[in-house]
Amino acid sequence: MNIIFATASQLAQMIRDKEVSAVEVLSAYLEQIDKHNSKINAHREADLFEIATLDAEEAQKRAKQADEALARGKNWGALHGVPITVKDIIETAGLVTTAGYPRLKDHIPSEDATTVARMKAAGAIIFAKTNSPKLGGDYQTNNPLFGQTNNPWDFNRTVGGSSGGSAAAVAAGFSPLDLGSDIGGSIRLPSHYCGVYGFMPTDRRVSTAGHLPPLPGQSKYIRHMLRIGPLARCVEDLQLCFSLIAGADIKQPEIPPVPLDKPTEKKLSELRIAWTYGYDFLPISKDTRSCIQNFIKGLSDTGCYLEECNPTDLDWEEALANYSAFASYELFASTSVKDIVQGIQFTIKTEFLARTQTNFKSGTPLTRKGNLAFPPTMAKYKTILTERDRQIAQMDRFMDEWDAWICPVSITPAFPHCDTGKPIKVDGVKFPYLLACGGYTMPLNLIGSPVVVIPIGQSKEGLAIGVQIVGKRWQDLKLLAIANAITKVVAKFQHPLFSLT
Amino acid sequence: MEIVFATATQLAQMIRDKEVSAVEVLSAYLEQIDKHNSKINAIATLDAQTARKRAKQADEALARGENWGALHGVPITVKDTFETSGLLTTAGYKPLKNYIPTQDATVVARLRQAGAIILGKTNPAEMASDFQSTNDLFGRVNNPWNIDYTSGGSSGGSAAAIAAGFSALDLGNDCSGSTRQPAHFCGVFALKPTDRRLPTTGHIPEVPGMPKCIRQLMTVGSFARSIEDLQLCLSLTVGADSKQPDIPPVPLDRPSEKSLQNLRIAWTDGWEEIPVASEIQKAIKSVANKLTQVGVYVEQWKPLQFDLQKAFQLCNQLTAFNFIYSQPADFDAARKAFPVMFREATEGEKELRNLSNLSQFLPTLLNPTLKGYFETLTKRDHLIAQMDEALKPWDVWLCPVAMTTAFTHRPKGAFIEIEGRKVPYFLANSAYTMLFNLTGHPVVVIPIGQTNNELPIGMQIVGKRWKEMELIAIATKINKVVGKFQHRPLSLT
Repeated sequence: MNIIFATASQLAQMIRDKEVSAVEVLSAYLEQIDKHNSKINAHREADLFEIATLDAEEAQKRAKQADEALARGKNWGALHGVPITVKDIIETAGLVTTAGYPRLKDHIPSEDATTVARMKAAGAIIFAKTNSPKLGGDYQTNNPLFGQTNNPWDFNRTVGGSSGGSAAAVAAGFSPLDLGSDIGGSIRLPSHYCGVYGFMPTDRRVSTAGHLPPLPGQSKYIRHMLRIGPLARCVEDLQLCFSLIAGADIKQPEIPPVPLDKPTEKKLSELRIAWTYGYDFLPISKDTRSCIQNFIKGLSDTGCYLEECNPTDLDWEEALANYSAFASYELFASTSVKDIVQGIQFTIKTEFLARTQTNFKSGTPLTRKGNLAFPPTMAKYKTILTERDRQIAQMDRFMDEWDAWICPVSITPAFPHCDTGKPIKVDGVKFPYLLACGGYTMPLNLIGSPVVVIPIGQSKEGLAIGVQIVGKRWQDLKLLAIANAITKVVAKFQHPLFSLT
Repeated sequence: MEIVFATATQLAQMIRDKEVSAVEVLSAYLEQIDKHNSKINAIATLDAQTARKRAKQADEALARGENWGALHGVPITVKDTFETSGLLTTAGYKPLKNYIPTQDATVVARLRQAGAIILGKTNPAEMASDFQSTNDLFGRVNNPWNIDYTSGGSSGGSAAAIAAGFSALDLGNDCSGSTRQPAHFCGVFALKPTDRRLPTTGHIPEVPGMPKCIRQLMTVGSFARSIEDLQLCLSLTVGADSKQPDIPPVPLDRPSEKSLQNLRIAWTDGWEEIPVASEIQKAIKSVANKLTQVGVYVEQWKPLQFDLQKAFQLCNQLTAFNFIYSQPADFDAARKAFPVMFREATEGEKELRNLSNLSQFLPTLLNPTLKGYFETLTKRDHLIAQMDEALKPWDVWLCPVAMTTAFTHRPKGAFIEIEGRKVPYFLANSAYTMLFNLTGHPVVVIPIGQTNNELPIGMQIVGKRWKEMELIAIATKINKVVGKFQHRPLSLT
């Protein structure tokens, strides 16, 4: 079987059963990366630039050790000898972690992030860091240190962000599994744009200790919404990775010891699934719509109960407003004045462009809660937290009636590279940048729901299209089981054509 | 045994087995209150009529073979800081003097759902913000053991009601000791669970209408005449609350069932910097000895390199961050705060004042910044990890509840004299309790003795975070050996 597109679970089994060695597997990935990532080789048509830092030597050493251990009958864990990648925003001991931020270009962490340590403890071999925009702060992946990452399905287009390198690496056969992060869509959007599977666990399920931001030495100011989660080529791998990384962490007392839930025993035909094409104020592209339509049709053939609806009582636009304000309060509480000013400038720019170039003449919901007024205050923060409680309760109530809610990831498939903040054209109509990219992902960070993204098809131009499957809070394994059942029947993984050359 | 001093568990069983009716039990409590409350003033609002109706219904239901739940027909009280549907809820705060909620606080609803009958509200410190229980609406609570002494606060009425046989169970809150200190002062059992274990929905503060500001430190607490009752109350009130998404669905832990002799118990009679009254120290030493005598491994221990001053500072700052905006800007409250601040800043020995001072609050109160909040939370994370790590080799840690036992009534903030030393008010009351609000560890308080002038002495049994059932199981075993619970004799007035 083709190694580079095998799943992590398959590789783990093949290595364990000695059908292939850890060294062979790693070599296959290193070769793939060498062919398609680096900008040195002039024979290629284009480069992907998904890999930020490669740790080939150390990884090869470790792979050899993995094979020797197996020969002695030792088993390091569920991912023994499997090479994986980690988003460059998550700290890896001894391996430079920059978060795409020039100030951190030489930052070599002395400790693994908790999630990384847990993957290593299961035997995984971390051989590279995948590219991310500066501090994970954009929906495209580009930074002064490692450049722009291109979409494996069309190099002229973005991979999305901020786990852009992560998604592309998994799509292009550079890695079987990547550990990314998501505070407003950063796992889900790239997964959708690159046609891979991504999982954002329930808020506070997984420790974020070792994630940058905050910068080393800074106080921990991001305390909600940010999740660390896997990207892979199948749902099974998402389940595996999640079970390894979830759980209480002494370094992060805010992660409660909620035990993993039991995956559902219900058959697909017994499920109640709500779904939507989205909201009128943010219509999805025709291709996205027909993809979802076909997907729902395929689902309905399984006999499950489907109903087109949005979460009752939940005001999506207000959720966007709350999200934006909340995120700004946590993100700008500790950053430098320079960063705050840049942040304000960016907000003003995107709003101005929205008002002048799109149909959002009176602005987007994102600045409705006056997050332009700095500095953020305790009073505002507490008010937003209370608003958030209310909206979480509304979503919880809705999800009491359903096993899952299916909604779009974004209004369009991957868009052509552009300046950050510039409106995105969808079916000939321009939409504000942040809404186009994150309009369907951001509220779910606010609310705390677990979300799986699965690829469901392609646009007419052959671009990947995925969909979000939203679950009940704290019932992550149940959601993953549902997603797994769905993918066995309805949507199958495909890899981008170029990678077969 | 008099009914009024039975435990909630005993009463539930007696009512269920029809040894006594719910109406009889309620009448006994109402009579006890009638006889003795005027001296103690633990009850703020009595709901006799509704309670009598409910008790009658409870008996009728039982006769029909219906069972409302584990507390079917058992009369309980609730601290007046918890909203009770249809029953006046004031938090001792003048602007709320006519406030009748339309909904129960979540924990109240859960006890009611288990069949409990709420016979009244117990008297708190105004807005739960003092270590004595007094307010403009209902006056001052006196200690049932000696009415010249305080019952403690802010759940002073709760503790006194349990000690005096006014009810079977009471719910309080604990933000820096408000459940544990009154339990210690009044000689009853109490539980402060892990931070975020129980929903605080419907608790005042916050004042209804204000945003939910208090997100750390404050827990729901319970008072009872047995540890069994604490466990029962916990099992009935625990669980996620759709109105408070911050409360994670952590199931109750399964106790290890280690025998007493297999436990490793750490104990301390206090830090030198925060000296504990010698009678308390003696009582704790005696506990350690008794446990040793029955073959338990006990060791005198304190966590290494634990910076008390830093911990107190963090606690004060975090308290300020949490409570700001929890009540509307209030000239009256501000006016009352000044003399308290002044006393705190000037009364008591300087050395002790420097250790922990309410005036540390002031910069935060005057200009709370988000940046400061996150910095404080980050430092707290480290302290929690430090305490978790330090407690790893131990099953539980025995500590004093406060530097002092119950003291004579005095203005809020006035110094407390402990063996010739003038100790600042807040330090004397909360030095040993606030630490565990800061770190979030669960604590059971048990009575372990009395002073020479017959005032109760309690002890904290500190457990691991999220392991309340283990803690309760161990506390039960310890209590069997060293516990000195007595109820106030009815004859004492």
